[in-house]
Amino acid sequence: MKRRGLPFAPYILGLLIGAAITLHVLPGVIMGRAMDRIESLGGDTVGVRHAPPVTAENQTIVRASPDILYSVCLYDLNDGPMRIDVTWPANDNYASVSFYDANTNNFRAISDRDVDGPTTSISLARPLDSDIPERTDDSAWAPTKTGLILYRRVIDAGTDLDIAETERQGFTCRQMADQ
Amino acid sequence: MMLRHVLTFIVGLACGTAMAAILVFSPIEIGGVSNGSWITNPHIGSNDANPLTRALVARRGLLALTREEAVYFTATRDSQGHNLTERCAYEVTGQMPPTRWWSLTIYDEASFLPRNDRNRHAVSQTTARTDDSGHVIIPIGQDEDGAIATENAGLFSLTLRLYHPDPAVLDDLDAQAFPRIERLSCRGET
Repeated sequence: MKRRGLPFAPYILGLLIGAAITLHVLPGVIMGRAMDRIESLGGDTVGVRHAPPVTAENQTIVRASPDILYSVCLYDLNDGPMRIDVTWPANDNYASVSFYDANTNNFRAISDRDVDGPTTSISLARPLDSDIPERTDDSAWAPTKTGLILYRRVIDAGTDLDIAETERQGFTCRQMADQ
Repeated sequence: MMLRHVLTFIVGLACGTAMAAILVFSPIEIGGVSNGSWITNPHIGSNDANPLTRALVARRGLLALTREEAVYFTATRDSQGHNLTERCAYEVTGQMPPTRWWSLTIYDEASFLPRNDRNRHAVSQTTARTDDSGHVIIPIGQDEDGAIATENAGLFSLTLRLYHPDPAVLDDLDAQAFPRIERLSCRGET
């Protein structure tokens, strides 16, 4: 019985290894493409791209929500820690900044409910970065050197879009060494 | 003999790669916990997602939040088990799970908002019509105010986002009361 089954062993082994490698690699590839697409659009202010409200015509990411205002910052920690500043909505709409590594994992999220004041400063660094040049309200530790930070803010029927637009301009993202 | 094993291994490697890619890029939804027509996966966006879930999320729901921030439920079938299609009109009715804010959005088979000039791709807690008991009534594919438009959606899906859901929702994803998706009529049916 063993001898008859043996010829299939290399095939099964190859099958499992091929599937495992593909599943591990694909998220990074898909994330890399998304980051390239975002980078090609350029940054609006201090490293952040403020996307217009999502419509069928301008959507670039799958399953984006037309009820959410998105801004995105690509991070690269090769040049050291970064500082992220956020201004939270004054009207109690949901808002958050979420941090994604290069493999699509959401390793940290901070929302308006997690903070006390109208603004928050966050340092983003690698776990081994011991020297954070600036003091901030909060900190996030990135598993990979590159990734992205996504700002979300609900825009419902009662939201003043001009105010929402002004508030999200308070989401900034820059290398600490630049300051 | 050795060469045959190597070749068999390479064939297996190619088949495994192809199978995984087909699985991820085929129009299947991210599986997990189901509640009526609605399906969610509690590991979306998190570090403890298994490799298949992570790959499916990257393909079908890139940049999703973890469950503490938002829970995403997706439906591809109505409450009778039929595929959701632009050929039919539906009504989503019932109680929404307790949450800070929710929205319901339509996506086509490629997971994008369907291209049509109606600009009615979503209904939210702020805009949804409710009856006297607080149950939502959301028309889908009907020509009326407040309806989600289905033109050019083909076989579509609905994604229900719950932002800052109550802890009870997270504890019992499959036991919460969720709205039903009732099919009302279909074009070409008598």
